[in-house]
Amino acid sequence: MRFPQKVASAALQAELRSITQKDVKDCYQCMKCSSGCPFVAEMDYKPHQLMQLIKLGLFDRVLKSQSLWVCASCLACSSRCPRDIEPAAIIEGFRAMVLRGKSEDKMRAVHRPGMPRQAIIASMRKNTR
Amino acid sequence: MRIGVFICWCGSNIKHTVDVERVAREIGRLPHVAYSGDAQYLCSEVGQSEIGRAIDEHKLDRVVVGACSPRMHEATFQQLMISKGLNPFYVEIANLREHCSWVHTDKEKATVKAIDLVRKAVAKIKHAIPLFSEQLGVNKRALVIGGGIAGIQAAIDIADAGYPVDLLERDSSIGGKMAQFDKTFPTLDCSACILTPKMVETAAHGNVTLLTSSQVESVSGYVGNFSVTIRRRATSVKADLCNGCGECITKCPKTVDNEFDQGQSKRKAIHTLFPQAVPNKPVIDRENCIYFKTGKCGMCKRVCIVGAIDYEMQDELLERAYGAIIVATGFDLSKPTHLGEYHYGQHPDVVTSLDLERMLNASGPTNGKVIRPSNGQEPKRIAFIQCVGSRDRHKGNPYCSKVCCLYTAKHALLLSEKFPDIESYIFYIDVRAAGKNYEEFYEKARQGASYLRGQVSKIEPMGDREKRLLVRGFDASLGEAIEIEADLVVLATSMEPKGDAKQLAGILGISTDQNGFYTEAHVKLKPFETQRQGIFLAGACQGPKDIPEAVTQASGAAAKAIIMFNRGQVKSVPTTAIVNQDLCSGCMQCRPVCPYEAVSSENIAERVAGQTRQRVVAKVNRALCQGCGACAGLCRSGAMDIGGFTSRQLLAEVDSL
Repeated sequence: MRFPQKVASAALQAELRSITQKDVKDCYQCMKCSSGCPFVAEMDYKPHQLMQLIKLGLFDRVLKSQSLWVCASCLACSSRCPRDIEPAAIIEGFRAMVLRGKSEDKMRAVHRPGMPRQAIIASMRKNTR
Repeated sequence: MRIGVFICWCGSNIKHTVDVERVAREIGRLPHVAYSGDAQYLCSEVGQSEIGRAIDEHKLDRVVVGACSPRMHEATFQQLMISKGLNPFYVEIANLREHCSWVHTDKEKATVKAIDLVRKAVAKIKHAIPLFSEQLGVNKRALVIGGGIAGIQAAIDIADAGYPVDLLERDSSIGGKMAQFDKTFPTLDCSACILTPKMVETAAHGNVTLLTSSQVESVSGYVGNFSVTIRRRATSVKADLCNGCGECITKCPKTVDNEFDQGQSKRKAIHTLFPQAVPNKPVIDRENCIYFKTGKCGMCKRVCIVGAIDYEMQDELLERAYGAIIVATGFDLSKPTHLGEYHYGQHPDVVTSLDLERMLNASGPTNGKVIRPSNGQEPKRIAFIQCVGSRDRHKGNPYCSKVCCLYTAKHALLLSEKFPDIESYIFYIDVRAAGKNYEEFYEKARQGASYLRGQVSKIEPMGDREKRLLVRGFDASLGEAIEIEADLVVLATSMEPKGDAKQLAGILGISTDQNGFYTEAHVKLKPFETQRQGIFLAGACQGPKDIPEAVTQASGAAAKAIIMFNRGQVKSVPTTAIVNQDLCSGCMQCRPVCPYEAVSSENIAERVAGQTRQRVVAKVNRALCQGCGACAGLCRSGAMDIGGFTSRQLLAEVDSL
């Protein structure tokens, strides 16, 4: 990945902050979110990688990430984050941004063989609102 | 001779691995051992009184203790001997804890070894001779070498305690590295705003004498009575006449690179180090001065209305006496030209952190603007690289330079505040922010900069019109290679000992560690002292330090000197070399090996076959001797001994095994 990259506009960053009320810049990449995530194996970008992408302003990658729909919102990451960033809330924020149609990305239910049922249900619920 | 033997349990430390009762029992059978017993904690008050009681009851005159390392409690037991009216060197310690129980697991074997160690100590104490310390007078004047923040702090503290101090500085002004800095972490205080009042205070202090443009040539003597030769370089400006008007500087036709600005600006051949220099008197840099090179010019002399310019001025050698010396010579920053992958020295836009620091300084070469040295434009994107030459066993220094994490955080923070459009990328291996309010500071810095975990492997010129640099790194979090098209690259270079630190160590008779920093007497418990009594350490000459730590150590070192001055006397080392004049052949081989110049020769008269004959023998100055034993090891006639470790004592130990 070569910088300069296309980074999220100030408006988009402000929108994320207004939805989540959290500042991802506080993240120091301890990776506790990923180490505690029950679905980390199913994710393309792991929770801490999502946080890093957001810190670097690379929202496009986050919006395209399947991880948004794999997350079961179990809140394990949020309850343990030492920086109180609540990764689950950040991920929820991105889902909201996709659902609000601010992105060109088409959301799609994730259905891969071997995926935990709970994750599929959570994903369906998010996608069929 | 009545020897008492005491075996300590050290709680369970020794008793767990050594059968202490059996050791005491077996040693009790040795000849001359009048008492042998064990106790739970010999160092405790109870244990001490137990030994005291045994000394009285059994009329003991020598004591052997089987306990921990003599480094821990030798002084405790020696004090007890003194209180019982016995010579403190009539106690011998067998180290059963470090040498036996802590390193072995087999109780039977450990017990046998413990018995051997105690038997050895008993054999040694039989040949012990009483030793005495002498009280040496102290010259209550201190020399502080190095006028950076550590030296300034030490000098002010000693001066405030009421003792005269000479503050010696190689450059023409005190201030050191701190004078070059812009802001200081973690509070973002302006460096000059907190330093210059201290510099002025130093110069104005009635007890401080500034010796700028000076160097130490030689040191002789011993604790309390050092004699130091100082070279005051000829500045070619009479400080007493100069009124600091600066006309000479304005008119001087010769300009050279200004080292204070890291070569980013120019200065004149006659110059002051920086505007707030203390003393604020110019000096002539003879290497660059036209008059000194060609004999022509003389502009400064013509314009000086007070006649302060003196081209004939000579270096001056001062002989001064001091009781204590504080070494505060500071550090150098490495120039990473040897790390070719970073292109330092090959591309003007690869700079060091100190170069950037000078740029950020409002009174620096760019008046506080950050520019690309190649074209003077403001950079859009800056890559910071941490640990350049630090923590690098291969081509750099193995140690951590300690301050780079925080000053880089400071740079990132200052840039994001002053120039919010500049993007900062920081490549790091670890961020070490251990210090009061440091983590919080780093937290703030993260808001304005992108921290990427992974060391940069290569910087390449991109070959585009703007001559940008491609910085190739990796981000461990994303697991992805990262390339930055950077306009400016800032290298956090390694802190190193001064280039001539080893040479000064030789002059002072102190030691350096494997990295060339001065060695403290004990890593934890004697951080201010050196192995040489009366010489103390302050600041980064002992190892990488930030400003608060340098100031702390300076005050500590000053306190050590003040304690010595307050007492007015120091005890000499009792375990010095002893000459047996009967055996000495006067070959004087011991003189050149003595690192402390303690050995001299003397003439003695003796009667041989009815005649009086003169003979040369070695003589030891007990104040100078530090008991290193070099002479005793070398002496071929066996005439030289070290008190407490005589050849007879050591041989008796060997024989007992």
